[in-house]
Amino acid sequence: MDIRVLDPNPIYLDQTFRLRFRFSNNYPIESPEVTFIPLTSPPRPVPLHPHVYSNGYICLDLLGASGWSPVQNVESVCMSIQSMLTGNVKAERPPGDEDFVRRNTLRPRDVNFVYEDATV
Amino acid sequence: MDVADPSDWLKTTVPKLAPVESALRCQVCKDFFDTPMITSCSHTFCSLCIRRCLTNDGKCPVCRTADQELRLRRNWTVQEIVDAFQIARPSLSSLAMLELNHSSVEKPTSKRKLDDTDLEEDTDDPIVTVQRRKTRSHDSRLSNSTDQATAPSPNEAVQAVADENHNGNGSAACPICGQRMKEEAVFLHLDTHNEPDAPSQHNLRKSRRAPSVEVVGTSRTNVKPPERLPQLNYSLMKDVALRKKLSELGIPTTGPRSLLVRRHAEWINIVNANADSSRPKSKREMLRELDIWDRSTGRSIASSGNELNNAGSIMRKDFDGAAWSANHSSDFQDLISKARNTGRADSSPRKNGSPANVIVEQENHESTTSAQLIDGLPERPASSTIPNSDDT
Repeated sequence: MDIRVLDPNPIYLDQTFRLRFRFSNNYPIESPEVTFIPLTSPPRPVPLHPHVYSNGYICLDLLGASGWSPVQNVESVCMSIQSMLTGNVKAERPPGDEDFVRRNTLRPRDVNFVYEDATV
Repeated sequence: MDVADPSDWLKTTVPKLAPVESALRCQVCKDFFDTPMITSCSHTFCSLCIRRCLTNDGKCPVCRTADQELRLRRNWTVQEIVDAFQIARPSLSSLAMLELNHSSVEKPTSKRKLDDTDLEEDTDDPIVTVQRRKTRSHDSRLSNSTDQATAPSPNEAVQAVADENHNGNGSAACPICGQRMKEEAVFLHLDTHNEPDAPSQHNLRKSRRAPSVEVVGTSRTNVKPPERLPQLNYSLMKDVALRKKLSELGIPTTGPRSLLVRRHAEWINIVNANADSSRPKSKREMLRELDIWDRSTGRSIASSGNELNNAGSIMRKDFDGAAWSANHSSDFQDLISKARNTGRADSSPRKNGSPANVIVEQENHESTTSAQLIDGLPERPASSTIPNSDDT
């Protein structure tokens, strides 16, 4: 699934991103696993965002067990990610990104993110 | 496979029907409501969907208000609307497509041609007829005020559709499949559908004279109300008692405890949702549903839920090999060094293998700290080099 940010946000202007959705058998009771996938051709970078790790993992409460609701669907998840990107003003990775990416052995769903930052 | 979807309407002359159809679908399963239940926060879902959600986290999926299964109430009106709409859908859509093809300016209501037998309906004002129908259905419901008899009678809706199906040249569309044919042929054609849920037009004609109570009554008199199952407090039950309970219920008793618990919860949901339904299924059908659940969701619980059953998770199709090897790299290292040590230890007298373990642990510790130093930040205190994965 490719997504674009439709606003003229200078950070993501003219970029397209590739998302991977993985659905468990228990969907929609359980959330799907959603990550950005970097590709070289066509160019699909992992967007620069304080909540997106460079391995494509997305820190979004919607995708965790606490924030997920069975009424969500692929469309609403895409829209949430789009709005997360378009509302961003900081072209940077999350704090501790390098360490996290190097050491993390868990799948996105099992990582215990703490959703403390309500500003972005 | 052609799946009906609200977006189908966007291509027709009546794109505004798309939100109408969306509203008639459950927000969890995205299908038409099946036995709709209303929560105490006034949201409506399929019985099975909301029961599964409440089993999972006890919250309304839309507004996240805490709720309990006991407080769910049936929403018969929604069931009636959905049933009526589903029957009307094929002819509605064929009509909407037809208009698109002919780019006709005529409105569907103006095409209504009155049936000869429907002399009472000699008005062209749709509002008046709708009101009269409404009153009629209301009356029939008052006369059978028991809970059971509130099963939806889609007769009115089908009539409305049937009326609209007549167009100027005497042909009519089948209310089930939308195929157009001569008016007389519709009756014969309808018999070919053989769907128990879809009332044939023969019934309709009869039921117009006879009160619709009779139609509803005959189909339900012999059916005793299905029983509901109570929920269990699994933490108070031993494995043996739980297995006994499952076998009493006649459902499979295989698998680890976590699977037994989930299977029992799913069975309760299926049975209780069935008890809500106006068209209850047989136990065999419910067991088939449980079997489907067992082979999809249940299987993944069996492999992931039980930590001891590692072989199962390795054999899984979506097994993450890289993550697994990274996760257990210390174990692998451990084994490797142990194997090397045993080679060495063979020459020297050994006690019970414990000294070797200690050495390995120390080695591992040293290697990780040195790796951290190489990767940078040697001047910072050791605690800060531990990455805070919770940090976002």
